[in-house]
Order: sequence, then C-alpha cells, then structure tokens
Amino acid sequence: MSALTYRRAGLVTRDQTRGLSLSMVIFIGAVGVGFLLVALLIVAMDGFDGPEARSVWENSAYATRYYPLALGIMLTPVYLALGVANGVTRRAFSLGAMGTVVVIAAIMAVFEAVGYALENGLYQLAGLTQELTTPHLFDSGTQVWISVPEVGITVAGNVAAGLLIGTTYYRWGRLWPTIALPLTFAPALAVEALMSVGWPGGLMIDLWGIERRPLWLVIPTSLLVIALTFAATHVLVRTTAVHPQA
Amino acid sequence: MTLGIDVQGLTVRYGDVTAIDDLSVSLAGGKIYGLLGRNGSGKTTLMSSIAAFMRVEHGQVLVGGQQPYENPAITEQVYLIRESGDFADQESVRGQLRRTKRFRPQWDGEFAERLLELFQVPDRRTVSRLSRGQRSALGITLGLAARAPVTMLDESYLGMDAPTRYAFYDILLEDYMQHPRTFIISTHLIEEVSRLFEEVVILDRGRLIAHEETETLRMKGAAVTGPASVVERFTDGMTVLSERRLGGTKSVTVLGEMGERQRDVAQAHGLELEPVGLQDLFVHLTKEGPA
Repeated sequence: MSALTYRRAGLVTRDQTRGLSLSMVIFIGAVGVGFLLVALLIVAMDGFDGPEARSVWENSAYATRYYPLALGIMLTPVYLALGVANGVTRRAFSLGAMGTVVVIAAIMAVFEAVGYALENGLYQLAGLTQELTTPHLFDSGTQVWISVPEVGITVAGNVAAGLLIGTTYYRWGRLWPTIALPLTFAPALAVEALMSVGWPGGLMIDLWGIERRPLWLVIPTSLLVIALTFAATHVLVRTTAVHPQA
Repeated sequence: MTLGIDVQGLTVRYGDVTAIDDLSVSLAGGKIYGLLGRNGSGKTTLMSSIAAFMRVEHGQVLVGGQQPYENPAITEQVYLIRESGDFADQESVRGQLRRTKRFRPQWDGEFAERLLELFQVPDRRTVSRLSRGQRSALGITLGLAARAPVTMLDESYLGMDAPTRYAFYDILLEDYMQHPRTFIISTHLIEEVSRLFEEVVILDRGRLIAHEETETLRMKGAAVTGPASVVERFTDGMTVLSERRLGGTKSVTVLGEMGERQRDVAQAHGLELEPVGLQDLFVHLTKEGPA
C-alpha cells in the first residue's frame, strides 16, 4: 500500500472522529452525569448498608459497549459515500474506519477506567469497598492499567462488529444482513467470552463452568478476532459500489 | 493540470437493465464537455465509473492513462458532484468545507468563501436545514473550489433558481479560464448551458450517438427565419426539427448541413440562416417515445 493511502486513511480517521465527536461528548456527559445522579440517589436512600457496596458504575458497561457498537454500524452507511466522493479509495476508507474504531475504543476505555477509579475513591471516602459483580480482568477499580486494556479490547470488538454489520447492510440492503446478524454480531460476543468479561463472560463461567484461560492466550486470541473482523470488513468494502442517489 | 479520459468498451448492467452498452469515447481533457442524454441514458453511470463510485466489470475506463478504481493518485484528482450532493446532513456547511479541504489537495478556501457569499449559503446552518437551492449551491461551491483536474457536475445545479444558475455559469467560465481543467457537465437545461460547452457527448440508451465539437454539431442543421411562405418553400423536403411562427414570420429548424448554393439561395430570398439549437438537435437525435 502506498504512503498516499496511509496518509488518506489517517485523514479518514480524523474526519470520522471529528464528525462523531459532538455525539460522543454528549454521550460521555450524559452517562457520567446519569450514573453520578443514580449513585447520589442510592446514597440519599441509604442504599449502601454494608462494608461492601456494589459498583453502580459497572452498569455503564452496557452503554459504553452498545453505543460505540451503534457508531460502528453507522460508519460505512454515512461515511463511505462521503469518502469516495472526496476522492478516498475504499482501501483508505477501510483503514481509516479501523483507526476510528481504535480511537472510539480508546476513549471509552479511558472513560470507563476513570469511572471505576473515581467510584473506588468515592466509596473509600465513604468507608465502603467497591464490589464488582460481573467478571473482569481487574479486581479493583484502581487497577487502571488493567481496566483500560480490558474495556478497550471489548469495546473495539463491539465497534469492529458494528462496522461489519453496517457494511453488510450498506452493501446488501435489509434481508440478508438481518439473517446474517448472528454471524456478524458474533465477534463482539466472542471477544468478551474469550476474555471472560462482561455478561458473556459471566454466562461462560456461571452457566457453563468454563473458566478464563491464561491471559497470554486470551488477549492475543481476542485481538485476532478483532483483526479478522476488520479483514472481513476490508474485503467487503473494497468491492462495494457507492449507492446511486434517489 | 488537465487529465484526459478514455473509455473503451464499457458495459454496465444493473440486473436485467443495461445502463451502458459497449461505450467507447475519448475526451482529450482541458475542455468543458456537455454530457447529454435522456433519463436513463447512462450519463450518471458513466460519470460514476470515471469517479470510481463503482467498479468497472466490462471494458476499461482510464483517467490520465490510469484506471481510477482504488487508485488514490487518480481519485483525488477526480470530483463528481451529484445532484443531491454527498454531505453529512447533520453537519454544518462549514463542516463540509473542512472535509473537502482535508481531502482535496488543490482546495481554494478563499474562492469557496466567495462562492458561499455569492450563492448566499448560510455557513453555520446544518445541511439538513438548507433549502434545495442552497444545497445545490453548496455542492457547486465544493466542486468548483476543490479545483479537481477532472470535475463532473451531474445535474448538480438543478435546485438553483435562474439568477443563481446564471451567476454559476459565469463564475464557472471565469474560473475555468484562470484554472483550465476538464469539466463534464450533465444537464437537461441544454439551451441554458450550451454556451459553455466546447464539445458535446450525447448518449442514448447507454450508447454513444454523438461526440463532436459544439459548433460542428450545431452546423449539422440550421434555423431558417423569414417570411412564412418563403421559409416554407425553402425548407420543403428537408427534415424539420421544429417550427415557430410569429405573425407573418416563421422560423424553421432543419437537419442537414447547408451547402454554398443553398446559402446563396437563402440570402437571395432574404432568409436568415443560423446554426441549429443544440436542444432541437438533441431532441431529434434521441426521440423515440417518452423516457
């Protein structure tokens, strides 16, 4: 691939992240303020009655996975025609979109990790211990060096799946992509199941008794799943025509 | 910088429909080309193939001697502005300008500002809140200010009102003189835009039916004007494309080149001879039931 392709892929990432930035700022503000209000409400209702208090922030994981998933679904339908109309090749678009996935995952990872650390600190101030109820790679919200990669990889899995789903819908319309949804959404579930985190990890452990494999195995395997999802998207995008205008 | 376009044996099918049928045409570049054809004649498909909006499956399209599809050196030099524009509807006009500046190496920001002002496009408004005319004007602004060596306008200015369209024609000519490049303009407003065209390409049902210099094409017929009875006698037996009558004066557009002798006869009878209108010729060349 030429240097021009990489340069333009970088521009695509910049263009997409800039385009999504306002929506992401609103999302982060809404989730942050929303969960703070919920925590305050629980405190006001005297909801924490023991030395161990369930993490309220942990529930934000659903939002920080599925909102980025929705962003991923939008990328090809919204930005492919814009990119091609502006002289971007599909190869550069696909690489740029992967860059956007990484940026979204990184932002969500830092957001989540800061939330866990803040909650942990606030609980400690109140004399409580933060209790995590779904499986994680980290034991405490203060382990930012573990929570950032955990959330980053799981969110990347979700956004990469979203990118694949959106590309199939743009290319083939409604019927076949809907039938194929279990397949195209599978990477998102696979990443969390492989790392035994979140609700898919909980299912693996609690329902089927499958314990987490060593990290040296599950992290590269999860990254491989994400890479394969990107590869599938890349192959599709490379041959996708821009839709005619109605 | 100008780039030529060479299309050889291009065939494009959408299911059972053949949009382009074994089309071959070469455009030298550095000119303003009019691309004419009835609805469904394949104009948009041809431009989409040149702009790499779609992959060429049968035949070959070359821009500057290279295939455009997935060729970044070519795609950044080619700009197709479609009728409704390719915009992110929830972004502002300013945001669209930023995007085009980002991707178009020859972008002229000052010219873009001038065009926005000329066309009265509110730059802080989101695209979804623009009127149809403003949306068209935004597409034109981006297309002209990008200064792409191959710029294609696919009915891009249909939403603009007449005064704005005329302002656009003037500014296009002015900019073309200062920055020569290849323009391909697809339009149904033939009479209005024909003064811009240096060459005309006419498609019908996916096939090339004419590619000539505009003046050569216009000389393929004549508008004969004068006293009604004299005009009728003079044009008797000729292929009549259209007729107009005002009182005792009649104007008849006929097909076929006028020879020296016919011109002398016309002059002797006080008849005026003018080149045929492009629209009359287009209607004749492409007529066969409604599209």
